[in-house]
Amino acid sequence: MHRLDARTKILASLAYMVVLLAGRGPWALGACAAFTAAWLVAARPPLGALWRGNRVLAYLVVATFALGVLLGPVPAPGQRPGVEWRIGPLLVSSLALSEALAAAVRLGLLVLQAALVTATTAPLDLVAGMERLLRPFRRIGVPAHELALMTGLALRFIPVLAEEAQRIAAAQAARGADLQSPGRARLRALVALVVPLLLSVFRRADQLALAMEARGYRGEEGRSRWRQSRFGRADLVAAGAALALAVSVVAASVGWRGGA
Amino acid sequence: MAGRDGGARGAGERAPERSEAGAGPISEAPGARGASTAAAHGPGAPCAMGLMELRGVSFRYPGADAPAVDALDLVLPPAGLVAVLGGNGSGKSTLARLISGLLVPDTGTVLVGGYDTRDADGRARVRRLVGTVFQNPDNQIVAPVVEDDVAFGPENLGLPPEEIGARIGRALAAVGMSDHRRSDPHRLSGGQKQRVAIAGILALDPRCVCLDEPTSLLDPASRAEVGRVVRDLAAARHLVVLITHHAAEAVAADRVLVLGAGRVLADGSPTDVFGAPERLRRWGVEPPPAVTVWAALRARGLLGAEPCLRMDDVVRRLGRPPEARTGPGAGDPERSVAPDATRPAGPAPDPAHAPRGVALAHVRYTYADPALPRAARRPALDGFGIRVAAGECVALLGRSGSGKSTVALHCAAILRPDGGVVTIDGVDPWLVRGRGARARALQAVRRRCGLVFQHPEEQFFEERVLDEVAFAPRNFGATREQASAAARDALALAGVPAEVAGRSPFELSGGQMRRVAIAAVLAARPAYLVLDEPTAGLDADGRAGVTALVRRLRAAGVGILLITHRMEEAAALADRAAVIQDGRLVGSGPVREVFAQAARLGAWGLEPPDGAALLAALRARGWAVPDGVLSLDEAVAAIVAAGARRAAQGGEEPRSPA
Repeated sequence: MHRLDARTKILASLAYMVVLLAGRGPWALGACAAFTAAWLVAARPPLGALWRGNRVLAYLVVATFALGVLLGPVPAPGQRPGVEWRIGPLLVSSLALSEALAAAVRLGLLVLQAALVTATTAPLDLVAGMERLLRPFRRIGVPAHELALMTGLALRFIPVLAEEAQRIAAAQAARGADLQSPGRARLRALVALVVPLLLSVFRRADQLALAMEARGYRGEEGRSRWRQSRFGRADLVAAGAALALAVSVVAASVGWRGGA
Repeated sequence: MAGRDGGARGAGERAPERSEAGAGPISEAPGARGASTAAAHGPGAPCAMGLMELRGVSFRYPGADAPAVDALDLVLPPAGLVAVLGGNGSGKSTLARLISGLLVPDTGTVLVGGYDTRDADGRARVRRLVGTVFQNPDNQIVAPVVEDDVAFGPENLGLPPEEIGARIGRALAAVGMSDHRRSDPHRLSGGQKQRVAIAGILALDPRCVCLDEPTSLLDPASRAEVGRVVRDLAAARHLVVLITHHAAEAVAADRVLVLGAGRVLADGSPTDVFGAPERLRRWGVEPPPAVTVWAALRARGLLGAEPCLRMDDVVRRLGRPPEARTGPGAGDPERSVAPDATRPAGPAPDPAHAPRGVALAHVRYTYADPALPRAARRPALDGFGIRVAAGECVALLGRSGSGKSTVALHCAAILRPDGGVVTIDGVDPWLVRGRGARARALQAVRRRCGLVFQHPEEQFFEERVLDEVAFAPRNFGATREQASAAARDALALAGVPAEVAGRSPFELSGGQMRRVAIAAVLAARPAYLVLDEPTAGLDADGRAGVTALVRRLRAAGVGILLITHRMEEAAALADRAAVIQDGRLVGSGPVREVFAQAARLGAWGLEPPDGAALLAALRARGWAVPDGVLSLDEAVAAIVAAGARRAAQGGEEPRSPA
């Protein structure tokens, strides 16, 4: 999985997303789950890191399920609500239960698949893959290179600026600025945090522009790319699997609807 | 070395012919006034006399009163290390941008390898010949992975991927960063980041590497790393232009230029330029410590007219010790150091019976880093303790990443310790219960213990100096009038002229900015002050201003915790020193005693102050000079005293250099 072309992964993930959201019925979800499980087995990502990075999203999946069960769909007129259970003041229907389960599984698979892609791909490879995929659209005004450059710079500078924001906040707190204080004092504290941060961003941008110029940057023209990616046999297999998944799920969904 | 061999030149990259013939000894180049004939060759022709030539170059920034560079004539050789010294505003950085084609002169000509920077085509060529490394490594690294950052330049040249890969390997090897190819620059030390930035320039395969104050934001260990790389580059037949305000870095140069007000004040070998230290000081350049010692000893007739550039030279030239009556190690050498009269003994610190002061005891703290599993996070502070009483100055020493700044954040109650106790005058604000009461307790502590961050001027946000300085007292509940009065007092205490109060804090000089930033903390009238690297990035004048301010504050009874990398600063200002390593207190005591433990200083990653190092080296040669000496003045006095004993015995004349 680590060796796949980033473009394959991006496209496969896009297809996966469409299938997951559009597909109906247990077959569609089951096929998607199988696809993700296959990816998980093939990639063997460090599960601890995966969990730490996505813990919040996992809670969101659980919350989706809980809310779905509690606030579940009101049966349409003429539709049977299925079996109902009463738990204290709550009325839980089997319809709500199955809908909530489907929604939670769908969201969970989406999160897991996205996490798997990012865990098995260097961010810069994803950026380069995006740039290459968007390149044909330059003619209609999509600034593929600039978008890629900006994404790369954002990846580089977000941790730098986050640290800087923390430092400024601490420094102003030492000068008595209190973001919890009421009224005008709070406004003053906010200004004292935001203005130096903005100034720092501008200062850095200025110096960065000069440094990039000093390293011969003159825009996309005449530029080459060091990160190369090749569409290999593994890519063919993965793309084939994604395509097969898409076709089968669409077929199954049609069948499900037909049967229902 | 990042090879400049033929294979390095890939498709699309065509450097102009290199004038290897001119790569002779550097000393011949500056004198070559006939260089103006190079103009006749026009663009594209190699410049016969030197790689670079500036003729009558002037440049003025838009809106500036005076030109930054003023009618400058200069010829730089094709190889070697040229150091450019000068105080803030001397035009050093402007010179760097002019020779690298990043700025175009208003009048005059800059020729690099025969190309004129005034036309766009020539400028593109010049930028390829001259690579520039800037002061802040953070703001020149463009990619979140080291190897991709180094690839950025070659990609801009349009080189094929295989060639780029080869260049990445060579460039990282040249700066000793091959093991960090896949690292995230954000997780590297300052010195490592700057070496990555240099590799990014080397990958462009330039003829000249121009470094604009590459070490001024780095700690001493990182500075030494970068210094080594710089000398390697020059040895590999690059022209290296090193712009710096650390004169000690210029000692290894083949040629030293001193700039002032955009003009060349001095130009010659290090021996020539540093031979007149008084003149250098007048120009705002602090001479290397060895030169200061040499000048003082020469005035006493202990050394000859040839200047010493390194402490080793001083030791060597002083030669064998005088035949002292007492002999080395006899008597009590400590006694012979006269206690500094200007330094009254601080109050005896006795932790058990002194509830007042800022005190940390058994403090543990670990930064939350979501990228790491809990078990892998290392504590920033691990049972650390320190106490600062009123009227004393305690230096906190330790290498980068040892936890010094985390200590500062605990003193001012910004961070809450995971374990242990932080008290300010006996109050532990974190024990206060209730949201409102806790917030008030924290404000009270922050008012009592001021904290001046590293580069505090980066926190400026007001349009007027007075408002900036009045910010803290306003936050601590003063009325507008009270706050203004407090601000004016603080500015006066910090030695900032009254007329500056109405100006914008962003248009001040570096030294004045720093003093305004310190005043912005002093305006709350703190009883204790934590200063984190208060002189970092300042030139000699700026440092002197801050040092004098710290002395005044201490004399006024403010308890000061001074965090610093400069051992001389700690030696000159502090009563006591505490050494932190990996978040633990590993040594503390009177500053003289701490600095006398030469062996332990090394283990702590610290270097002794120059004066102490010099006397230690002399003692090793059998000189009867005392231990526990801090400043260069004291060291000179001790050497003179030893020399006088020799004179009293009718000893021989001072030895000449071997």
